[in-house]
This record gives sequence, C-alpha cells and structure tokens, in this order.
Amino acid sequence: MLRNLSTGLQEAVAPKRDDEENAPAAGAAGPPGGPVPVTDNRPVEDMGLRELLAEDFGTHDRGLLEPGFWAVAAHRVGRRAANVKLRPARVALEAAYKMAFTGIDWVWGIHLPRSVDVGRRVRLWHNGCMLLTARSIGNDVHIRHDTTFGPARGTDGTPATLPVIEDRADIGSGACVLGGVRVGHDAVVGANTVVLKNVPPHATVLGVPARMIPT
Amino acid sequence: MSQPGSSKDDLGSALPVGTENANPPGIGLGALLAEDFRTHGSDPLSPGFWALAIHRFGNWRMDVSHKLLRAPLSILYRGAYRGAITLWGIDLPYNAKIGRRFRIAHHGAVFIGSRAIGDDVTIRHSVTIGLKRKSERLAPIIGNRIEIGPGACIVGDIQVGDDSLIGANTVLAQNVPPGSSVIGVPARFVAPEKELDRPAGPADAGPSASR
Repeated sequence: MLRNLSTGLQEAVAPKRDDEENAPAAGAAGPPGGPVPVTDNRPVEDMGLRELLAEDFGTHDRGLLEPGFWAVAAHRVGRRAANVKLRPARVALEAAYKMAFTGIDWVWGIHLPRSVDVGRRVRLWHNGCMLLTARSIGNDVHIRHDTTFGPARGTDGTPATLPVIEDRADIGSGACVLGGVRVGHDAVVGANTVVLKNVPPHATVLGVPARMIPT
Repeated sequence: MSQPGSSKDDLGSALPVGTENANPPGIGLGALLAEDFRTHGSDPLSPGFWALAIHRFGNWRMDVSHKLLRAPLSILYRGAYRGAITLWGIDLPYNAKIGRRFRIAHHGAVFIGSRAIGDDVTIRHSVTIGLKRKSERLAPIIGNRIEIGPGACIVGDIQVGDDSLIGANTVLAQNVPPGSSVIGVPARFVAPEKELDRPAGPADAGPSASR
C-alpha cells in the first residue's frame, strides 16, 4: 500500500471491469457474477483523513457538486472532530461540522449522522432526501435518493434497533430499511422496497413489504 | 365554506377555500407555535417546525380582516411558503386544515393537500397527501393520532380513521377504519402491531463482520 495517493485513487475507483477480469487469477471467494471488491479494505479508522476524502471524491466521480460527496465528507470530518486534541481546533472543527451537517440536511436533505459507522467508498447517488440513521454501512455500498434507514415504529432508536447494511449492498431509490435488520453483503434492495426483515447475502428483494425474488 | 370552485386544473380548489383562519380553535398563535416547537423536539433547526409555523402564520393572517393591513402579511407568508418549498421541499398550503401537534419528522419533500388533518399526526419525509387524479376534486381527510411512514402516498376522496398506521412507501387510495395498519402498493391491511411494529428478529451480531 505504498501507492501514491492519486494513482491509488484511480485504481480503487475507476476500473471495476478490470478487477472483475483479474479476479479469477486471484482466486478469491468472490461472489458469482457480483462486483468484486477492491483489494484495499483497510478500516476507515486506519486511514488518513485526506486519503479518505480523496477516495470518497473519486467514488463520487470527482464531482464537486455531488451532494453525496459533501455529505460523506462532512461525516468523515465529524467522526474525527471529537478526537482532535487541541481544544480550540476541536471547538472550531465541531462548529464547522455542525454547520455543514445542518446545511447539507437543509439544502439536499441528506441526513447522515456521525454515529453511523460508514465504510469505504460508500456512494450516495442523486440529489438527496435520504435519512441514513443506520447502525453501520459497509464498504462499497451504493445508496440512491429518497432512501430511509431508521428504527421501526415504536422502538427507541438505540443502536440495536437500527439496520446494518453490509458490504457491497445496492439500495434502490425510495427504499426503506427499518428496524434492527441486516441487509446481507452483495444484496440488492429494489426501488421503493420496504425491508422489515433480514435480507440474506446476495439476495434481491422487491416490494412493499419486501419479498425475495429469484435472480 | 362553499363547495370547491369548478375551474379546471386548479389544485387549490380541492382544498378549503381558505378565507378564514383554520388553525385549531381555542389556542392563540403564540401558544400554538410553542406547542409545535415542542412537538418537533424543541429543535430550532427542524425544517418541519418552520414549515408548520409558516402554515400557522398563513392561517392566522386571515383573522386580519382589513385587506390593506393583511396585504403585507400575505406577501410575507407567500415568500416564506415559497422559501419552504425551495429549501426543503415542504409544500404545506395554509388552506389545508391541520390539527394540533402535527409533526413533520425528518427533512421535507412533502406535499400536504388534505382537506383536514386531526391532532397528533406524524408524517415523515417524501409523504404525499393529495388528489387521486387531476379531474377529481376531493382530497383525503386524516383522523387523529395517525403515523404515516416515509414515502407514503394518500390520495383521493378517502377518510383515514383514528389511530391508524400507514407503512412506508404505501399507496393508499381507500377508506381506512380506525385502528388499522396498512402497507403495500396498493395498500393492504395487516394485523396491527405485528408486521409494522416489530422487525423480524433482532440483528444477529455486532457491526458488519467483513469490515
């Protein structure tokens, strides 16, 4: 992992097809037909902030006007703001984070609290209106507009009542994942689907409430 | 008020005409706004609170009977109403009658074109309440203590009974008796407190294992 930053970024983000072609040689237990994970899966905590933001920027097609990028960037900064040792810097950073969080929530409606454990290369597509109060969101998860993650009705919103989105899950627009359920890795949640039960890995679900459909 | 006007394609005519203050009776504007503020978690940054405050103000201004005195208030109201639509996407016309302790949880993208909404109703983002078709003239009537999930559409000349629960992304175009739970496209009735209240089984383990 001694790659320089910009080339690492391009490798990590751009050519997924190349990765797919290379995968059989690597002999990984990759999912049949699914997207093959990029090799660099260090935890977010082990990465430098700048490296992480550069990767997120690449994930969002290097678009400065991508609402998703700014939402994820604010989240990354917010996660680290509390750990800054120097007090004035911490106070300033916390204030900046809160302003950014509220601005993003107001302008684009992307509500991604920093309590959520967000993995790497998470992509938020399109223009906002997402409420992403999950317990954790894995690596390479794609989330589209109008998505809701949150507690089911009548629960208190503690972490155990929030959904877990595993790696490489693909969430369609308008989908709702409610309650302490788990969306398995490589699962596909169709547009406007309401998920109230666990979704197994590699499954595809669709409908209100969600039903498994054969792939 | 008289029956809605007969002009075509005028969505406003589906709602009450809006020539009088339709705020809940027996409570002043200040007390009403204070209550709405508490309903929205006492959060001054909550878009739902501000949109509702604009709605309440829009109704309150109709008590000012002198047209000349009302004109600046109307201009202020219209500006704020447009602002709420542009900034948060919350379209809450003042002539949609709304009861007390109404809560718009989360960010907006909401359209409320109901004839009446009762007390203690909670809606979430991306909810639509309005006409079924352009040619139809009547919008829903929503009862008391109703929870509406994100993305739900409630359309047509229907009544939603008290204490009902409308699940996420549900498309509802039929009457709902009190105490029911509905979910689906189109809406199906489910046993209350079963399918919607309880997610199936707790999540198994801790955070994502493959991290």
